[in-house]
Amino acid sequence: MNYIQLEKLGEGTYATVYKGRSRTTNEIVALKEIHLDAEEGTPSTAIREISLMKELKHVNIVRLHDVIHTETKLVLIFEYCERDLKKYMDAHGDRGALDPLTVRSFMFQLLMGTAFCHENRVLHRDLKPQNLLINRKGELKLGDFGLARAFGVPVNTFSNEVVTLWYRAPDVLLGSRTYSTSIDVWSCGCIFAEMISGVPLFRGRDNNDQLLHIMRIIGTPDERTIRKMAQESPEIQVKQWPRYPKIPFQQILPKASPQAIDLLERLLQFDPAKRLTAAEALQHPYFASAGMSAPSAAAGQPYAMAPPAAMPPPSNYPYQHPQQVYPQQAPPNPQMAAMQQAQAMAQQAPNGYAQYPAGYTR
Amino acid sequence: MSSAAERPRVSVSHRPAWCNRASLLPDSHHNPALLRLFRHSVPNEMIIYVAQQLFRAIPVDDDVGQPVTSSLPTPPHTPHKTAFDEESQDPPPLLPLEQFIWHVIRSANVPVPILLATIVYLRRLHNKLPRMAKGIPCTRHRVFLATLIVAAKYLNDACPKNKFWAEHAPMFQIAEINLMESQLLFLLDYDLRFDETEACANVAYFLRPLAPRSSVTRQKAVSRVAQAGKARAAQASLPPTPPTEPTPHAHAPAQVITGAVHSIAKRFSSVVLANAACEERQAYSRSPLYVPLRTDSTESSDTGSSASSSGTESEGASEAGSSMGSTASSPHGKVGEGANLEGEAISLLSEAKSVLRPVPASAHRRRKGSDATLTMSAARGSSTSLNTVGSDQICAVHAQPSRNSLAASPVAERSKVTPSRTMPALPVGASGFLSRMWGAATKGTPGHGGHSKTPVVATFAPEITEPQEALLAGQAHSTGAFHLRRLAHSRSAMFRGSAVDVDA
Repeated sequence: MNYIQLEKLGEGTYATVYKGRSRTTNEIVALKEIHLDAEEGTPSTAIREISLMKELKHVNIVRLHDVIHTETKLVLIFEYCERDLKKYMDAHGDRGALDPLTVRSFMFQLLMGTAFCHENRVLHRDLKPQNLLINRKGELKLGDFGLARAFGVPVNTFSNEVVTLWYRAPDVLLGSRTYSTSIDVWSCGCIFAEMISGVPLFRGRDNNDQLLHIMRIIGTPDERTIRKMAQESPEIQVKQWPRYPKIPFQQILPKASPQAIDLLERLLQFDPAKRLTAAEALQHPYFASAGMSAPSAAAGQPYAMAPPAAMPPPSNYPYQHPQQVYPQQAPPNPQMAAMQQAQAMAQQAPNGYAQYPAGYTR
Repeated sequence: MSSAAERPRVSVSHRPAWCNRASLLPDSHHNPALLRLFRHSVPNEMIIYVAQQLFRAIPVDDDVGQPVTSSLPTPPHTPHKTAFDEESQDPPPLLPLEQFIWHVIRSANVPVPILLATIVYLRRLHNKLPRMAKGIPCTRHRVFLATLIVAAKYLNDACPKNKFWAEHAPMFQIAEINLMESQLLFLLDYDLRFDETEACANVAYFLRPLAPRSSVTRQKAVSRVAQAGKARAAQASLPPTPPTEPTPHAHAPAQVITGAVHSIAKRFSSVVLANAACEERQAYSRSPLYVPLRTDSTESSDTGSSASSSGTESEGASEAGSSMGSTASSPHGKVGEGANLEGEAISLLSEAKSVLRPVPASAHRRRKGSDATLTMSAARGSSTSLNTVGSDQICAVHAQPSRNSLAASPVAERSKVTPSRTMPALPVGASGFLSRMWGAATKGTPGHGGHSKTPVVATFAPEITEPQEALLAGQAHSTGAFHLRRLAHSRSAMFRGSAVDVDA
């Protein structure tokens, strides 16, 4: 193998992750070893993860460098990130809670990565702090695409056993199989709240309990919403739930700014059709507020992708929710411009990105 | 990095429920013809089409061995004689390709979308494989199975393990299946995603607009077939006229159908599918290397056509009706979209279309009567399959240097696939892929060596005929028995007459 295996970083259900070093370039990488089961063959999760991550090249998505397929195992070689968001919060947060500027930077990057997936018609389906990786530069990257799926061609079948329970959208909890990009947006909202408070927002024990946890905070949806959702996703099973009133997020997250609360409100909509898209969320005034400066990271380096001070006006962004109209061709993307602008600004900033390799813009 | 909790377990149902097909986009975003295609089970035409794609993508060594233009019958090859000594090391019998595909698809209940993805991947494979890459007869089977497995895994959240596929393709061991799967993934460079445009282009033939009709008119069409069957005697003097030119769908279908039924009744058994294969050969004759595979075509025409035709019948009126519709209507409109990509294949298929038209029961009866043709085709099948088995054995014992040298010939070297950028760790050419597929075949041999061949016949042949028989339950029972016998014929032929005839 072209890589020297170093210490173990973590272990999952079907893979073990090691730190590794390239023999040729000395670059530090992450080696994800997938054991091949004799009866299963190559796991479908690995097949999809490789197939999709090969395509998704974005600064906020972990880069897949290489794949080594041997008889007994499959090794995926990823770019190395120091830690995941969960560990970062434990190490740097105030009892898990991050400071507002870090939250905003991470949230922006999370939405950037998610929007990029969705633009490319990929659902991540397992967004949670453990799957968001943070490197020394403070860049946040979406990782673990084991549950990710491409969509848009009517040849796929979808399961509703997706997303880790605490980050699972109510429509999926209700049994929907025709969910869309909005389920990732729900997870983003949960992560947002968790970064602010330091603890997961909805901590259910099982599917139904999770649903009740959600309703206890955002309130039981009215009959009409439920009926509409059931109409859009016939798999949804309608039941009777206790009628909980909505609790204002300000009460649950007293530290959050009004704009943060407003964004959270729009991300955590019970009705998937009402949730913002990731691209829309990026245009929320929360990211445009003045006085945005790079928060300090552990390594003492500025965060990448600090949101620009001036964002394009949030109206009439051409990306539309896929359930409404899906543009045939990706329209010229103002987000891209915003991003380039952000990077240009970051490069001008003192202590900026001189160490960035050339061509690392996207 | 990896999520420990809540990862959905891949369910291993014996018969997976391939349901809830969705794009997560509204139906209005999709080609209605594609959605229509997905509503039915796999049409037999599609199985033939997949086989054609495989013939295209993977030339086989044996293709060279038997020139089809030779007017004199080729005497059996020498391996035939030595075969008796090595009988115990025989690989399990290889079904003809079309029949193998048919069997896997029907027994595993594979839905159209998965087969569609299979076709897309085969096309990609065809583009990636060097022209000179060669396989052995079972390479196509292997590539098909691997492609099917990968497609099922890619498209479905809940997909079966390879063990499931091993049950439906009993001639391959699970270790072999795992190996072919990983080799295929490597060869495709894990490039598995496709969009609707590409999907539609690859199956453009099956998306042609149907003649304006409802299910009622379909039923009418079916009954018309039955009538036409009766009427065919009156038209015996007319030459069969399958529509080669696009005909406007205002064109009265009855006439065409009558012609079609007539032609089927006349040359149903071996000739028809052999024709399809012939047409394919003609298409390939442009490639100087392609010398058609006699064995496969004859074999498949023998058993394959019976299998597919009975399938068509059994799928009921709607299925039959749609194939009829395809006969009557012209491949215009949507076909045009994919014409660049698929033009050749489409024309092949439209010429060979007559092959899979539904055949009225009377046609079967009549064919049963004309035993002379049958015996002849069976005899042809037997002589050629003898060669197949013989040469397989050569593979197994590595006794023929020429075969080895072919795999590693400078030709193959020259036409190496471009090494994948993402996978530099395994710099293997595509020709190596085929020879490894072959290597896997030979590796699997000892494992099967323990099996005596008789049980294979005993279990295998009935297994294939069983669904047909079941499907034909409403029909004259003799037809099912007829299939059984014919299959037994070809099977026993493969064992050089040494094995048990199921009929006996």
